[in-house]
Amino acid sequence: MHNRQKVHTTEAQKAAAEREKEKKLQFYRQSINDVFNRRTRNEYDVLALKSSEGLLRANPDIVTLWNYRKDILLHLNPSKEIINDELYLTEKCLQVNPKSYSAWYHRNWVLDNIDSSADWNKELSLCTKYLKMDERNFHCWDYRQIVASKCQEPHENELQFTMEMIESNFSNYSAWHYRSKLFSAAGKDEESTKISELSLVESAAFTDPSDQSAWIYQRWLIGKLEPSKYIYKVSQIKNKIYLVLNKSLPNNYKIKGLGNNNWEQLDPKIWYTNVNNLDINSVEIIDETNQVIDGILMDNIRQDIFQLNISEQLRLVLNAQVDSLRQLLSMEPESKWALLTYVLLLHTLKLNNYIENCLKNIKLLKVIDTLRKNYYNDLESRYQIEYWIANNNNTDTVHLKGLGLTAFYHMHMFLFHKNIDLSDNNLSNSNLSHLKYLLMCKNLSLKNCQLINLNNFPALPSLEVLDLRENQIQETSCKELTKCESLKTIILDNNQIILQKTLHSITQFINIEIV
Amino acid sequence: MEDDLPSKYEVIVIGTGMTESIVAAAASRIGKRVLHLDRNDYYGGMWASFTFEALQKWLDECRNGKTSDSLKSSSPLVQDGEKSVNIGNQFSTVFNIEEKWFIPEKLPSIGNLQSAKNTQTEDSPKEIKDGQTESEEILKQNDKLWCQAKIKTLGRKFNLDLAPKLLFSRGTLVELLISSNISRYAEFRCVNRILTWQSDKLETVPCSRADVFATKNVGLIEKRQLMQLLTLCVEYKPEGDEFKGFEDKTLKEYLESKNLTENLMHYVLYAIAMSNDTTPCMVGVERTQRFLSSLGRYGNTPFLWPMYGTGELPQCFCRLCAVFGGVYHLKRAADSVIVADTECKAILSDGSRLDCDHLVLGVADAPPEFLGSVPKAGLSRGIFILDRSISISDKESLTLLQFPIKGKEPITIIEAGPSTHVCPPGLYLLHMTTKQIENAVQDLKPAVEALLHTEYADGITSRIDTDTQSTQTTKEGDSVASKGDSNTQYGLLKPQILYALYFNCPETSGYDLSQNVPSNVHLCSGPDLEVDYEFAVKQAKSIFSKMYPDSEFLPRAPDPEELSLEVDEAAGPPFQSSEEPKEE
Repeated sequence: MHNRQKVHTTEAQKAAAEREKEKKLQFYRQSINDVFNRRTRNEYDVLALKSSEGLLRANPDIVTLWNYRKDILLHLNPSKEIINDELYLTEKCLQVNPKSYSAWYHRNWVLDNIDSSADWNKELSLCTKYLKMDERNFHCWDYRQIVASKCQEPHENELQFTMEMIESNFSNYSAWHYRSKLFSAAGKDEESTKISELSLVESAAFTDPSDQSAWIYQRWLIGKLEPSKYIYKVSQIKNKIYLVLNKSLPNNYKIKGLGNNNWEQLDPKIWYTNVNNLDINSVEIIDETNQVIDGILMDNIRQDIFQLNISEQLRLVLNAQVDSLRQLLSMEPESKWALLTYVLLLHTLKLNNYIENCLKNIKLLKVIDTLRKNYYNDLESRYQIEYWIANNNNTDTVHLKGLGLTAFYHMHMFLFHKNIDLSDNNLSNSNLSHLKYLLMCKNLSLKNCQLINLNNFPALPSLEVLDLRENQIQETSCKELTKCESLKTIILDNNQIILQKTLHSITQFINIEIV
Repeated sequence: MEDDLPSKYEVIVIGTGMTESIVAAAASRIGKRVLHLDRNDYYGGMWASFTFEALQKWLDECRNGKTSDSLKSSSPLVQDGEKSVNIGNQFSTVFNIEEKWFIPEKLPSIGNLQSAKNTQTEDSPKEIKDGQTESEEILKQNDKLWCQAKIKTLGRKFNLDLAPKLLFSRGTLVELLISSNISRYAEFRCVNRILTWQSDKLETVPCSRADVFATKNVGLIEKRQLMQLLTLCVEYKPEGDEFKGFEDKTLKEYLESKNLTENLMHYVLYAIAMSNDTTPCMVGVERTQRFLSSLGRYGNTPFLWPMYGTGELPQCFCRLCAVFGGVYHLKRAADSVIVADTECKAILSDGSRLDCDHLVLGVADAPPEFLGSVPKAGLSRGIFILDRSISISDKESLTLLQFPIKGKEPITIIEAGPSTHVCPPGLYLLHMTTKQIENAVQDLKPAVEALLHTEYADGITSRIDTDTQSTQTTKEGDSVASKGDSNTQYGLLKPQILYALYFNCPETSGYDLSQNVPSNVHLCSGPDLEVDYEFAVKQAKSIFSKMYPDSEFLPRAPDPEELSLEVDEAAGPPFQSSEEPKEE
């Protein structure tokens, strides 16, 4: 109620209201006690059913009452009439609170468990009617999904229905979401659907770029694109062979090669096996029909590991979308969603010079959408790291210095590197656990990384030299380092005298260098 | 001749047109004694809706003039110092009547059977119920072929408007209907389609956000441009400087400065701003605002259309007037107005003298000397009965089309179908209105030729049947003749005119009607050119405030249940459900 004059109530009015309230409360207590007493007496009859009806019609969200009704109905072996009354009650309750979880659930439960001749088709048309009146009630949308699957409504019809709803108002997350569900469930060739859905989204974007719902659906469509390859690299460390993947393997896929199918998982994306004396030169991934999905030669690096699986036809469509987004941005340079989608698409398609373009626009996003600055920082970090991985085949040294990284991604791809320079970034100790993959790393630089403690620093078996200069690390937090068995040298600067003393007291075997 | 009408009133209203009826209701609502007369046996005057038969009768009267016998200039009822001013004959105000059938009187050959049935139903009016369903059945059996007899049999299903108009969903009439609680007397339908005529074809104009999203008529960039422009107009405030420098220019010039595509220019200028090439920029912006602010209240277009025709609306106000004690007498003409000095004292009607403080007159009932030099020319009207919609779509549409004509006012076209109860199933009604330049036939010719099939239909050959047609035309009917080679096909798809009526009537909205009248006489214009009722409401308000400057104009009328009547309330059982929540 906006803009209503508040009128001071008189004492008498107050007292009257108070009395009224008291009366109501009294009545409520009586009724609910009555219901609970019946319940403790194990009364499962029609009278018991009636006893909670009034309470629920006033407040449909007392879950306990619904549960008692369920018990009664299960005992009662109710007639069709009682079932219909029960359904009618949920209808009435939904009028009181259209977003009552328990009322929606109860309706579904009754039809599912009590009503042997449940008319799901009628429910579906009720949902349609309801959604025409309350188009964005996600409870009803959720319920509709259940109902549609019960009466095995063809996906086409449901897609058609969501389309009608979107055409009357496309700002409807539930409708878009249901479409995504329907497409996923259909599992059919998605290429053409994806293309037509993309053009739908484009139309929404140009009609109202500030409406998020369609943009989010578009992110889902683009996000479904998968990398084309699995394997990044296979190599040996001591007596084990390690296989580094870009995405985790589906259950029906197997690793084959090196005369050994006995691979174990260290991490969803890292597998290893013990070295046999056989000649080892390649590893393959096969599916259940022994079809080769991916394969790589020993010690080779797959540089285009982040290339996505995009058909020529879809690529054309996405390229056209990049062009139209450019036009949209020329008309609405500050449209956050247009800009973000532009960045995502550039990165998806990896056109020439995409990285400069992405970084430039992420910078802009941080300015126009300051509330999500940290999200953009992390996105930028991911893009920087992926770009480095895709453009360097140096197996010894990682150079991610001064890139403003705020988060680590794909660190498992640095499993085999010996020298890793992460200096001059904006990290925090929460990122440090990601360093656990650096099994071969001997020299690690975290110089000038804004670190204030070393909590979560992992036990790195090969680490010999750790550079911690220009951080503000507190004394209490360096016990972690003693777990690194090979650590010989820690480099500090003159400002870290206290830290130096602490380190000395903890580890006599580590040489501390002051620079 | 004596009758038992009381002889003294505070307000006498003559003519039941829109403006007159609103004034009558407003006066009655604040407790004034109101007498409301109409010389016709129907409500509405030039704002009426007719069945087909009533229309024929009206046309006869227009052509022949009604015999007005009583011309008593010096009646004993006129006192000393008073002067009697004779009231003229309204039917001289409708002219250039052209009526034409495009179908045979009766269907030949196969029609014999049906016409036999038709006569049967006509002969037995007692079985009117059965007769109607039977005639509907005939209609179904053979609904692609039409004859005059068939139309006449179904004549009662028509509500043919003399003054077809739409209501802006946020216009003054809708607000008035709501605030005064008169809305309960009427039912409305949303206009669901705005069409325009561009490059020789009909197109659906995207006017709401949902339309812009769904339309395939405009490209992506155009969608953004259109939305930007519309947002700009909605948010426009006089102190902003978006339109600086265009104050003296036309809307067209402004739109050109925005580098819009020709397509968008057309949509905005002719359909959304409801303007033409010479409309001043700020007028156009105001119209655009009005259009857009009415969007989404009741539907996807800004307009409402009264069910059963526009003739319902004056009657709603009359009803309120009567509820508050207004006295009604149809088929009762005023013969003359009695004037003393510069004041109207009374009217003479049917030999009685009826005194009044204020006299409200429709222009059609005004004495010629009150009217002065009011122009006779004004509107060119066309009413067409068609066998299908001008642009067929999946569902029955209610359409507004402003048909642009270079260098002239556009032709306003409203098409309504059977679901609004203005015509029988299987037919459509098309109304055309424009400013009179020559005569109705000539003025409406461009739109008639572009949209309608004007050849005589012999009643034997059936053109493409409507059912298959809807599958041939694209959805929404957005570009019926988009392909060049389908022109011939479009020719066949055009609706066939079954019956056409053209006429001209005066348009006095631009004329100051208070010039030649006594100070307590108030003249009401007839229907104006605009598509809406803004003018009528404004005029009614201004007449009312001249009569009763300190009174509220049509305050909310109480609902029946809000009135406590001093009768025994135990007339029937309470109408309420027995299963209220227990707590209450």
